[in-house]
Amino acid sequence: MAFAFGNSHDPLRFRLRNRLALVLIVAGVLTLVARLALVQVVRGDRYQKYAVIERVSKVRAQAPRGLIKSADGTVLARNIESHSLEVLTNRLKPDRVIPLCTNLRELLDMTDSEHAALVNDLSKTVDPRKRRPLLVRRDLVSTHCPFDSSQLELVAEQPHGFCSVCGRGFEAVPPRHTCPFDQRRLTANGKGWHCNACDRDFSEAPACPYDGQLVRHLPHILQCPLCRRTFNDEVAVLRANAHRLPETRVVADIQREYPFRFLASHAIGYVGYVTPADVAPLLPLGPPRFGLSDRVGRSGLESVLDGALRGLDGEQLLVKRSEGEQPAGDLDELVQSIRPRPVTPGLTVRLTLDLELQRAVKVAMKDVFSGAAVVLDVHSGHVLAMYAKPSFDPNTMSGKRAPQARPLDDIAQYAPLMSKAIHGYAPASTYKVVAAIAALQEGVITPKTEHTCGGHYDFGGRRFHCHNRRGHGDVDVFDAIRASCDVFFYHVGEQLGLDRLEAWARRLGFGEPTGIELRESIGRVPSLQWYKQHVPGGYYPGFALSTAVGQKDVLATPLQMARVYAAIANGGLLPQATIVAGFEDANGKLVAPNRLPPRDLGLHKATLLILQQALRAVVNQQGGTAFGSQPATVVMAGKTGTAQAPQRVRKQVAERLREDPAALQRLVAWLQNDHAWFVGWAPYHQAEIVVSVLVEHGGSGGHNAAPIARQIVDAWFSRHPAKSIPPPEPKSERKKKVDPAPDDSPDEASPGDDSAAPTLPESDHQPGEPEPEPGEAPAQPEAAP
Amino acid sequence: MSVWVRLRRPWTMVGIGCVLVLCVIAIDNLAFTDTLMGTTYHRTQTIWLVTGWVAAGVLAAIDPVYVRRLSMTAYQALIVLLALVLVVGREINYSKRWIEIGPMNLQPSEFMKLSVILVLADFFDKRRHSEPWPLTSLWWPGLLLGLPVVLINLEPDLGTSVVVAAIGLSMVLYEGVQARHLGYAAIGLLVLISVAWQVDVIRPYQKGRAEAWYHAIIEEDDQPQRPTSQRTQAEQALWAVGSGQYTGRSEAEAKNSVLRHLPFVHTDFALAPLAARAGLLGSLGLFALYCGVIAWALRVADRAVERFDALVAVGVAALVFWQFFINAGMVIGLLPVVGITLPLVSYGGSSVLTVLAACGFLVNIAVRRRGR
Repeated sequence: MAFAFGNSHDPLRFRLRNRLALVLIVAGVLTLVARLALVQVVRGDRYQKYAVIERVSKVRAQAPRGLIKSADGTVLARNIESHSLEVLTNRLKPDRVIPLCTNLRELLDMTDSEHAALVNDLSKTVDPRKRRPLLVRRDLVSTHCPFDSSQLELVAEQPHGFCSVCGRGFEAVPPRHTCPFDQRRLTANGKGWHCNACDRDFSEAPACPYDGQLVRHLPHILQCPLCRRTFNDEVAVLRANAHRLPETRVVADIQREYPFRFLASHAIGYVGYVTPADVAPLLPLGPPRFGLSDRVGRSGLESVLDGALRGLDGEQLLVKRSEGEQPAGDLDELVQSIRPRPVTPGLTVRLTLDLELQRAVKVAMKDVFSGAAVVLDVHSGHVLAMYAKPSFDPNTMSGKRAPQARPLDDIAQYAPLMSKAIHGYAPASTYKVVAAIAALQEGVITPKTEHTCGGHYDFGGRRFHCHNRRGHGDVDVFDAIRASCDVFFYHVGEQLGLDRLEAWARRLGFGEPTGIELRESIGRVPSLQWYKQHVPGGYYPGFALSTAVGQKDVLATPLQMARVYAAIANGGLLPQATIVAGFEDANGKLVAPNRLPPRDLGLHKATLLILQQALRAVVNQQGGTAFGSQPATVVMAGKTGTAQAPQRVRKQVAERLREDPAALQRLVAWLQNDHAWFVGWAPYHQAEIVVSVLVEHGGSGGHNAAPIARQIVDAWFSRHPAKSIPPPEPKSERKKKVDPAPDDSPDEASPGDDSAAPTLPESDHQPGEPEPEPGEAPAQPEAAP
Repeated sequence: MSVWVRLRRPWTMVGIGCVLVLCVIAIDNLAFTDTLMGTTYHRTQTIWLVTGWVAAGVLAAIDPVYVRRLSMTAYQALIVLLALVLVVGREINYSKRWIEIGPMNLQPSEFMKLSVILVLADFFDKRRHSEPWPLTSLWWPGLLLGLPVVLINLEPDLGTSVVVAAIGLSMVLYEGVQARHLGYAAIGLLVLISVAWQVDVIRPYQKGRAEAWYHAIIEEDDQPQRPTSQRTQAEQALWAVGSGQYTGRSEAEAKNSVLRHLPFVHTDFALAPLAARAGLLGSLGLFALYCGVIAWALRVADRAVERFDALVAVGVAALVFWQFFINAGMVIGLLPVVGITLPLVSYGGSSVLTVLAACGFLVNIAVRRRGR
């Protein structure tokens, strides 16, 4: 080495060093060549495969939302494909904004203002690193109607004009000026022809008659068989014109569909697009796994069971290949080696709802403006049917294009979105069984105890009226329930006091959740404490009297009432209500969750017996308030109720109806009616189902609610013959008679002490006659103590 | 012998020929990368190459005495420019390396390579030493070399500063250093590097590159499982090179490959598209061209009468060799990624001007001075 690093005066040494340098350089280059050969020859095949992969990108794989099925497995909520249009702003060059928006306006029915807004959004200068796809339009029309989710049909091209200023669509003027969609006569409004029923415009003028803009003609080739609207296949149009819109993409998405529309919408609920408010509470738990167009449950089971239904999104690695070479087999291996996080689909929920019964309930309530009915299995507490009127179509709520006029506005007074079966109302006379149970169990009365009803009861300087102003005479608990005597229960309420009434109400499941998997109201059980806090004058002993007949401040839901009657029917076991039968596992087998056992109320046999008999008499005995509503198939027992109802006109409704005084008057007249209740079970022996019906502002329970219950019971038992031993009573032939029999002997099936029921002078209380005001009329005197 | 006769000597012809072919390859390669990126770099580069050949012609023709006289002044001016570039320089890719003069962006650090060669050659020619140099006597060339290295590293431009240091050290080693002192220096360098690694003088991204290189070499971690965003430039370059195999890909195939997304495909990674299109055979040809230029430079050094000329020729050989070796090694995954150009082939005016000017001076040495 010494010579190599010696001084270079000596030409020989210089030359040697030169040689050495050459050797080192050759060694270095040979290393390079060796490495090059390794890369290009030994690993060349492999690297060639990698090199033609243009991109490996990570994408979110959306988990399909779980289905909701009825008890027999019919699908009540399912997923269908939907599409949305996004602009990839990171690919969009500034000079392409205008041409892109112009192309979009040509292809879609986009108004000038929408177009201007889009241009504005896209022209904003955004930091390139923060650019996100911009959502232009959701729910592009392709296979399903955006208004009601019906499957669209391919039709011959329909003439359809579109005004880009006002956004109106114009159909061709039909022959004889009859709307082709609903066969109504069209009206000429000075601008063109208009159908007032379906709010469609008809014109063949080349310019929009409203603002003079030239009308553009869009080929409409799809038609909804239900609403008869016509559409353009927007997805197909956008895909066919993809070369003109290189900076956009059509994103396939999952949309929710409810094929039975109005049938069980309150129980099922609906979904809506995720909002920042949904994400905010989850942020502490980590980055939220929501996509731009994700949907979350907004009401009903969709909302309560959202976590289970949504499932877990997966991750997918997309390998994008170049167009040049497609060594498919090898690349498939590659893709598989990537191991994405798999998608965990949402769980499929099986409900306890019986679809046939649900339909029967809907039919039974067809004449009702507003109300609810719920049917429970007496033993298990399974909700067999749950319906509220008016209903709504969850398809129109699930984040789809809003119809021009929201149909729900017209029925806002009837609160269509409210799930009335689990909303608290004054239970009125149906609540008397609570007072009766409390009194019998506490020993305040015996089945023989009698009070005299003179039509009213004076207490604390006030007069509490019976619904029968002429009085029921001497009544025991049996008669008091059968004829719904208020005075008897005023006595009971006075003797029991509010504390014992409250304790028994709570024991019977009031003021607490029923166990159903929905966001329910727990009602209200008034107590001394509650009155102190909420009523200006505090507690007044007369309140106990009103509470005993289910008026004043008591609130109970139809479902809570159904539970109590189920307990009476099944021998004193208060069942937990439930609407979810379970979840389906991977094989479609039902996995039922663990449930609380029914609560044993510890009722005496005598208490149950006298109540059961009295409730049977309500329906089956002359003088019973629901006499005349005996089902044809089985013996039903139950109790009517007629509750004073608040007469509040909703503010938004009042505003809407300001220009229509006649409609407002009709509404006020309707509001003056009482709420009608009926709660009962069938068959009387070996009870199977319990039915709870509430008709808001329906009038009397006996005439307006009980017949609905009868229809429901008949519908159920015509399909499921009762297992009970006694056949339908021969009496049932007489049940339709309107004229009252002077003296109805107790029915044969009733036990001996039933005969103790005296024939009371209440023959004036006829089924054909409107039932007078029940309960305590003294609402006014109490209001000003 | 007339100038023209000397020009026709085989080695001179080889050298000039190799440089010429490399220039043609550069234009062709840039024309290809331009189709990938939608740019017109090959036109700009043609202008630079023509300018470079003119400069080379001037340097080949003038008396080298002038060059020698001017070298120190040029060195001082470039030091001022290197300091200036830190203040007013144009920042590209988070690094201030360029000074804007009209439409041109000049990179003083590139010219500094040639300037260092001239200054060191001048020093060693004047201070002749009868024995191998002890390190203690090398403080002045050390300063001449260290100052630009530090300034360039501040830009930051680790690659160029490493190349400048490598050129200078090669020349010093050529001149001869006492073996014992050389050992000390090597140990000192190792300590310096490890300390620099620990106290964060080495920047985090540079550490990341070094670690990625280590993993790629040691663990063979070159599977494409990771999403694009996490894949390194080096991996993609490796795949592109590998895809060339024996005889290379057609232009269309090369276009539809990772090259499309490879950053700096026209400058630092210019070898990747070349190797992808030329394959192993073409790449070996390219390597041979560089070897030809280096061998010519060494031959010129061997034949030079003047010490100054010999040292300059050695410096030019070192310049071409180190740039070529580090750049090619980085693209084919042998070395960690640093930002240096492939001589003559990468896009960049300053780089091409420097190398062509250096080659012009080599011609000057080869032709004017009488060889042995």
